[in-house]
Parts: sequence; C-alpha cells; structure tokens
Amino acid sequence: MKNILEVSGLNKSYGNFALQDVSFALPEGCITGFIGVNGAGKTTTLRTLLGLTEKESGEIRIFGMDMSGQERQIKERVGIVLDDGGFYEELTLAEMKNAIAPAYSTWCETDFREYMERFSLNPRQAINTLSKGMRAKYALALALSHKAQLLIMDEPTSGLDPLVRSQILTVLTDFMAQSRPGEEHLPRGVFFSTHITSDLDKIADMLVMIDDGRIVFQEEKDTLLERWRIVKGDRAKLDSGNRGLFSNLEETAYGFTGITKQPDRVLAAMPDAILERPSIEDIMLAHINTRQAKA
Amino acid sequence: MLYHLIKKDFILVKKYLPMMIGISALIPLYVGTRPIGGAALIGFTLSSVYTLFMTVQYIFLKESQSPKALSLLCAAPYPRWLLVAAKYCLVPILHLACCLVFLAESLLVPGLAALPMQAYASVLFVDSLFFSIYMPLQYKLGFERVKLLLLMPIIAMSWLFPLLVKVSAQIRWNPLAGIPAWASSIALTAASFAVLAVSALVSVRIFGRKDLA
Repeated sequence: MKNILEVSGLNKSYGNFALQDVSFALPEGCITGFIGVNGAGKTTTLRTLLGLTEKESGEIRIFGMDMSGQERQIKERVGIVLDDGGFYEELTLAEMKNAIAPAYSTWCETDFREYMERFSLNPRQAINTLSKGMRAKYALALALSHKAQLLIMDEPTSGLDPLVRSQILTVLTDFMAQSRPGEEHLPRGVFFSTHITSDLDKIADMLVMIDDGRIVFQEEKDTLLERWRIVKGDRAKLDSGNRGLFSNLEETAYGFTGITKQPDRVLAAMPDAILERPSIEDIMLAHINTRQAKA
Repeated sequence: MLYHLIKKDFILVKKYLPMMIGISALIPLYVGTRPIGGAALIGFTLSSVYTLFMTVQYIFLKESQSPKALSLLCAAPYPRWLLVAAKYCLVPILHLACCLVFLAESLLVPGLAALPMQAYASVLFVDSLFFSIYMPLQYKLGFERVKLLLLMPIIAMSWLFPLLVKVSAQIRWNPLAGIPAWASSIALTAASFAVLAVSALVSVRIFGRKDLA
C-alpha cells in the first residue's frame, strides 16, 4: 500500500512547546486518526502540514510531492476542515464560498450545491448565525467540493452533539467509499485529529498518537486494540513481579484495573483475572500515564 | 483569483462602505470650500487618505476578528503573496473612487475648485507613500498595535497638512516645474506604483514567514 502523506523528522518549536522529530505516514485508502490530549501537538502538526506555520526542519510529502516545492499542486487535492471552521463571521455561506472556491481549479459547484442541500444549509444565511454543527457541515461541504483526495481535519467533531457527529462520520466513510467514474485509480485518505477517540473507534483504520510533541505510535487500529487488554482482578494477586506488566494500574479496596500489552503473561501470572478489550482512549491514557510516571 | 480576493475584502467591509463613500464625499465639501489657499487640494487629499486608511483598517479589523479565516485561505491554494497583493490593489481602486466622487462634486458644487491632472497623481503618490509604510507595519505588528500607531498621524494630519501646504507654498523648488502636466502625472503615477511594489515585496516577505492561527 502506498503512502498518501509522509512526514519525516519534522521539528518546530514555540517557546515552551516543540514538535520533536515527528515522523509518520498515512497509507492511501485509510481513515487515519491523529490522537492526543489538548496541547499534545496535533494542531501544530496539522498547521505545519498545511503550510500555515514554517517548519524548522523535516520533510512533508503529500501524494509523493514535496510540500516545499509543489505546494499549490498539493493543496488543489487536499480538503481542509479547521477547528471551528475558520470563516469570516459576518459573511454569508455563499460569500464565504465565493472567497474560497476560486482558489481551486477543480471546484465543482454541483457538488457544493448537493452538499448544501444534503446538510440543509441556506447559502444566504450569515455564518455567525450557524450552530456549531452547521458550521462543521459547511466546512465539510467546502472541503469536499473540489474533488479532494485527502481530507485533513482538525478536531472536526469537537463540541458537536452525537447526531451531528454521526452524520459527519457517515460523510467521511462515504467519501472513502466513493468512486467516481474515471477516478477509481486516484488514492484517497482522511487525516483526522481529535481527542474524542470514540469517533475513531467507529471509523478509523489507522491511528497515530502524539504526546508532548513526539509521536508515540502509529499502528492499525484493529492490531492495536487486539494487542492491548484491560485487566481486572484481585488486588492480592498483585506483586512486585507482575506490576511491571501493566502500563497503568488503578487500585481500590476491592481490586485493581490495569491495562497491559502483555495479556498472555498477565494470564499466566493471574489465571483468575478478567481481560477486556480496551477503547482507544484507554490505550491513549495508558501511554500518557506511563510517560508522566517516567517524568 | 486576485479579483476574488479584492472582492472578498470589499464584502468584509460592506457594512461600512456607505460611510466610506460619505466621508470621501463630505470631506472635500467641508474643507475644499473654505477660504484658504489650496483648499480643494487639501480637501481631496484628506478625503483620499482617510477613505483608504479607514477602509483598510476595517478590513484588518474584520480579519483580526476571524484569524482562522485567513488560515483557511492560506491553506487553500491561494499563494500568500496574492493575499498581500489584493490589499495593495485597494490603493488605486479607492483613489480612483475618490477621484470620481471629487470630480462629480467639483462639477456640481460652485465653491469647490476643480483640480488639475497633476493634483490627482500627487495625491495618489501621497496615498502610496503612507500605505507603503503602513502595510509592512500591519503585517509585522498586527492590527491592534498598528491601530494605536495610526491614531497619531490621523490626529496630526488635520492641522499638519494645512501647515505643510503653507510651508510648501513658500518653497520655490518644484521638481515638476517645466514638465508638461501629462508627463508629470505619469511620472507621479509610476513613482506611486514603484513605491507600492517595493513595499509589497517587504510585506510579502513578512507575511510569507508569519505563523498563522
């Protein structure tokens, strides 16, 4: 499988925060979730990818092209959804579209109208009167109306109600499943930053985690979820030998709950323990707690 | 693409446009009909400078209120230099608008003297000079800080400009003396565009390296 986006050795620092040697790749045909807590470096990474902030070092290649030299060609093929939309508040939806659309040589007015109708958006409505959900849908309509092959989205579902989030996730899966006549060969991908990991449980194929400006892991979601296990058991069974098997351990008077990526060894040490499949959030928190415990 | 960016800037300040047109029409009527030497020229210059800077300030105000919108435009295939160029295009556009308003007024209002061709070109040069200093500062320092800086020349201009006209009337040196009106007008217009071009290069350099929200 080819990579639609490749980042290697990316560095960028601001005062007390720095992206440090960030490297990851997005395989084509995948929805990739970019996870991390607030302040982990997700938005900074996305801004650097989009050329909104200058990188200090590193390489960004999208569709095999270098972002430094072929920025325009790359941006023609990328749909963008910024956190909270990124619109001029006093413009109407049509006016904002008229400001954005001429930038794209592949802009498709028919697609835009279809998305506006699908999302029940009125082009004459002022942006500052839109609800958060409508803003997210409008941002998605703009991002999808120029035959984009890669969607880069910064927290698109943040602060949205479950119904709107579900609608947006459906649009993303449709986007990946869509194959227009003559476009079957074109690679597609979605790169989706979020701290609401339940959305990724539903639709992500790959996960990239960033914490404190460093990439913690990049892995297929199913492999990752298969490897980790939540363990519940009797506290009395914990000893200095098996505590090290857990990345995160919470103890109460009744028992313990831990998370491990060595379930076989845990079962061997405590056969009575109950093993459960974790959520992405459980794994993310386990990594953060491990890092904080080491600090 | 340039046309759409210029149009976007005007749409951003559409609420204020009637006020801008009002200002560009009222200042020459008020100042230009007063019994002072060069009143029409003073009126037209003030009208042109105020209209230009108030319009651009309102555009930057709106952009500062929605900083992510600029990020969205820059994340789209718009090159950053084009966004800067669109702002510089406002100088000839707004100057032309002020010229047309003033021409109409000088034809209709008996006390308002008509201006020679050179005067329009001279005012364009004044606009360009101020704008060429203002724009790189705007990109470097941002809207809030430039707003404070801009207050000083705006306040000073109302009394400084008549003083300058008075002083310049006593100075006999005129680099354009002896040059036909059409030639000096072309020279001043060319100089205006040259000044704007140099300033635009500086602004593009500053804005090109700016981290956006």
